[in-house]
Amino acid sequence: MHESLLRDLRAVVGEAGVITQPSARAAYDCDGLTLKRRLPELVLLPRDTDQTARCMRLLYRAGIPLVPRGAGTGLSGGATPVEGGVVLGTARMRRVLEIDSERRLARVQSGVVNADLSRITAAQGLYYAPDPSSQAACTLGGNVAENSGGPHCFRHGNTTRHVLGMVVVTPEGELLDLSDPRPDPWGYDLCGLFVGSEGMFGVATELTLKLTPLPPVTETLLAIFQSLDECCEVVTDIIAARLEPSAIEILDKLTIQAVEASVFAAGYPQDAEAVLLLEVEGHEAQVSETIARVEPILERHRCIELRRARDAAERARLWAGRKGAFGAMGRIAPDLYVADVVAPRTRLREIVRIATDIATERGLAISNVFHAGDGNLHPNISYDRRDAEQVARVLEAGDLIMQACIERGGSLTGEHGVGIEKQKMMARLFSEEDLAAMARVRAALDPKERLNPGKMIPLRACMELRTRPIPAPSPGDLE
Amino acid sequence: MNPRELGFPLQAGRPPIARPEDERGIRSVLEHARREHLRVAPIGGGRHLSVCRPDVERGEVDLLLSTAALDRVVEYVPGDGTLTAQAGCSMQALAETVAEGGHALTPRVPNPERASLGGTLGAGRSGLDRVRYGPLRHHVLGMRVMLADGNVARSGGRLVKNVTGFDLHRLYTGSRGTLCVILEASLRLFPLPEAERHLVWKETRLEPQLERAAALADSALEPRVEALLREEGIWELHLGLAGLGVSVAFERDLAVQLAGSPTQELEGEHPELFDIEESGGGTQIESCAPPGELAARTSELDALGAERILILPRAGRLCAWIQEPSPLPPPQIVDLWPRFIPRALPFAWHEALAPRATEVPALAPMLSLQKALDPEGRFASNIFPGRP
Ligand SMILES: Cc1cc2nc3c(=O)[nH]c(=O)nc-3n(C[C@H](O)[C@H](O)[C@H](O)COP(=O)(O)OP(=O)(O)OC[C@H]3O[C@@H](n4cnc5c(N)ncnc54)[C@H](O)[C@@H]3O)c2cc1C
Repeated sequence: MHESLLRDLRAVVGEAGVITQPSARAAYDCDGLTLKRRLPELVLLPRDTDQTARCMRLLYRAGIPLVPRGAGTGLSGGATPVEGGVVLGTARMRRVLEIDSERRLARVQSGVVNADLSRITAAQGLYYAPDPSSQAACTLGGNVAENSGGPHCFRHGNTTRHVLGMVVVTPEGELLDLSDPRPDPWGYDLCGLFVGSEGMFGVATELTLKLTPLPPVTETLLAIFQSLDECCEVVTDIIAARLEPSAIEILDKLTIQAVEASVFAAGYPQDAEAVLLLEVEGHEAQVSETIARVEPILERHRCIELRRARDAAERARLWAGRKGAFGAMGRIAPDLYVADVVAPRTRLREIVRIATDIATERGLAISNVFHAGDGNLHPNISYDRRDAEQVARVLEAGDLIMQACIERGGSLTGEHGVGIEKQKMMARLFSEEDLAAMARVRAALDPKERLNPGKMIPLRACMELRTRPIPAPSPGDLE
Repeated sequence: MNPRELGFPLQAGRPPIARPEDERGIRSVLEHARREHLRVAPIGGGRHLSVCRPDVERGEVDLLLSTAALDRVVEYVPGDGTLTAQAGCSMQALAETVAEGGHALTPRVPNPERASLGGTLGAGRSGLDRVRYGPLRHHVLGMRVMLADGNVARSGGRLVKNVTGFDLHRLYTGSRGTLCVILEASLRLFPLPEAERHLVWKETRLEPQLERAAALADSALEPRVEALLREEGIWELHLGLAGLGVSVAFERDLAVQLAGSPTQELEGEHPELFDIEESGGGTQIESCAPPGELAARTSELDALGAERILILPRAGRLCAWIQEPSPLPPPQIVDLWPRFIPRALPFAWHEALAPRATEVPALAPMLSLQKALDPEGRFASNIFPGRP
C-alpha cells in the first residue's frame, strides 16, 4: 500500500482506525466460511459516516477494492478479503443514534450488534424482531447486507421487512441518504434493493429500523419425537392448516446431543430423534387458540411428549440451546460446513432425507437444525479442514444438496447469502439473462466493481457486460 | 399500421394500445418499438396511469402495451402458501383462486375486479390492509420481467424465504413501468380470516379520533384495517378485525373497552371502505407524517381545499382529494415537496413541479438504474412528476 495513501487514511480515521500489522490483519482473513482465507492489504475502522465516506473516496481514487465487514459471522464468504483489497469494518460504529418509541423506530450506526438493540429498547416495550442465531455477535449492518433471518422471522419476516431507511456511502464515497422512513418509497425502492446486496452496492453506515411491540403473551413449546420424518410432517401440516406461530424450529438427534453436551444445554431429551421448538405469541385468545389447534397435529404425528416453558428463564434456556447449536457442533469435529438451502414447505421431509443420504454416502457426519416453518434448512456437515480429501467430500456434498433443492423448486440460500460459497451454483439456479440483469444493476451502482468484487454473480454474467471483473478468490490462491 | 404485419393486435386510439397474446408478442411489440423509435408504456388495468398521464396527453407515449392477455395462474401451492400468476390476472380472480385453499391475498386493492396483478405491482400500491400485513413490496417473492431489449429476467423465486441474488423484484415493484414489463410474479399468501368484524366511531373533530387510534395502537390489537376517513365534515374511525373466530371476538371486546361503544358495527368487511381510494375522482395527493404530526399535516391538506381525507395512522399515511384544484399548484404544495407523493395530479401541476423533481432524494442512482435496464429510454412512463 502506498505510503502517502496510508498517511491520508490515518489522517481520516486516526492511528487506532488503521490496522497494518500482518498478525492483526490475520483476524480479518475470513468470515464464518473458514475454508476460504486471504490476508487483507489493510483494515480500516472508521467511526462514522463521514470517516467512511472520506476513506472510500481515497480508496476509489487509488483504484483499490474494498470489502465491507461487520462482525465477520457471515457464512458465505461475503466478508472474505479480495486480492489487493482493503477491509472496512464497522466495529467502531456502535452508537444507537435515536430511539423513537412513538414512531416505533430506531436509528443506529451499522456496527451496532443485533441483540444490543433489543436490550436497549426493551424498557419501552419494544424490540427488533429479526433474531439470527448469531445475534449476540453479528452487526445490524451485516444483517442488512445479508437480509438475515432468524427463528422468529417465520412470523415477522427477514430483515428487509424491518428496514425503514438507511444512509449509504457509494463506492465513489458519495452519500446516499435514504433515511427518511416514509411508508412508501419515493421513486424506486432503493432500500429494498440494498437489503441483501451483500456489500456490493455501498457501505451502509446508518440504519433506520422498525421496532416491534413486545407481545403480551408468549408460549414456548418443545415437542419431542422419535422420528425426524414425523417432526417434519408436523411442520408441513401446521403450514397447511394456515396456523401462525411465531417460530417453528427443528433440531435432530445429533444436534440435540451436541447441544446437551455443551454450555448451551437446554434440557432437550438426548434419546429423541428430533425436537420441534415452537413459539406462539400475541394476545391471550390468539395464543391459546393456536396452541389448541396445533396439539392434535402433534398427536397425529406421534409426538411423544409436549413440554411448555413455565417461565421466561425456561424459555430463554430452550432458545439458548437452539441458538447455540452451531457453536455446540464444535464438539463433533473442529469445523462445520453450514448449508442454508430452502425447499418448498411441502417437501421438507424429502429434502432432509436427501441431504442426509448425500452426506452419509460420503462418510460425513450430518446434523440438521433448521427454520422449518420457512422451509429453510441447515444440513450441517462436521469435518476437519486439515484433511484435504475430506474437505473435497464436504464441498461436493454441499453442491449436491443445493442441486437437489434447485431440482425440487428450492433455492440456494434462505438467509446466509451467496458470497463466494454459492457463486458457481448461481448459474444453475438462474439463466444467463437473469444473471445479466443482476450484473447490469450492479454495474449501475458500482460501475468499477470496487465493492466486494468478484462475488455473488458468476464471472460469465459479468463478462456479458464486457467489464473486467477482479478475480474472485479461488481455493488455490487462498490459505 | 397493419396489425397482421406487426404480429400483435393493435387497438386504435391516442396512443394506440398493443394487446399481445403472449410473451413472444410482448417481445415483438418491444422490437417494433425499437425499430420505429417509439416510446412504450406498459399498462395493466390502466387504473394508475394518472401518474404518467402528462406523457399521454402530450403525445410523449407512442404506444401503450397491455399485459391483459397474460392471465394465467401459473401455480398456487396451498401447502406452501404461495401463488405465482401472470401479470394480466385480475386481483379479484387471484383472490378467488386462493380463497379456495383458505388463503387471502394482500393488497386488498380498490375495485379488484379491474386491477391487474402487473398494474398493482408496477404501481407499488398497498391496500388498506397494510395495517396488518405491511406494504405489498414485502410480500413479492419473485418476478419474471421483460426488459426493454426483449430479454426475460427472473429474480427471487416462489419460496417464502429466499435471499439468493439481488432482490430485483423489489426494484421493479413500484417502478411504474419505467424499467421493465412485469410478466409474472410470486406472492406470499395469508390465512383467509375465519371471522371478520368492522367497527366505526364517528366524531366531528379529528383530535378525539386520533386519541382513540393511539389507544388502539398501544394495545394488543392486530387489526387488518385502521383508517380515519373524513367525509362531509364527519371523521369516521374504521377498525377492521379479522382472524381466528375467538381472536376476533376478543379483539372486538378489547377495542370497545379502549375506544368506547362504536357508532356502527358490522359482521364481515365494510362494503365500501376498500374501494374508497378510487371513488370520487378529482386530484389526489398523498403525504406522510409521524403520529404526532398527523393533525398538523391534515390542516395543511385542508388548506389546499381537501374535500375528503383518508388517514392510516399506523402507517403514517394521508391521502387527500381535491375536487376542483386551482390551475397551478398552490404554494403550500410546493413547500410540502417532497413530503407529499403525487397521485392523480392535473398536468399543469406536474409541469409546475418539474423543476423540483431534481430534489428527490437519491435521484442519481435511480436514473443510473433506469439507464442500465433501459439504455435507449424505450419505456415512456414517468416515475416522477415532471421530467428531471
Ligand atoms: C453461529 C452462527 C449462527 C448464525 N445464525 C444465523 C441465523 O440464524 N440467521 C441468519 O440469517 N444468519 C445467521 N448466521 C450468519 C451471519 O451471522 C449473518 O449473515 C449476519 O448477518 C452477518 O453479520 P456480520 O455483522 O457478522 O456481517 P459480516 O459477516 O461481517 O458481513 C456479511 C456481509 O455483509 C457485508 N457487510 C457487512 N457490513 C456491511 C455494511 N455496513 N454495509 C454494507 N455491507 C456490509 C459484508 O461485506 C458481507 O458481504 C449465523 C452465523 C453464525 C456464525
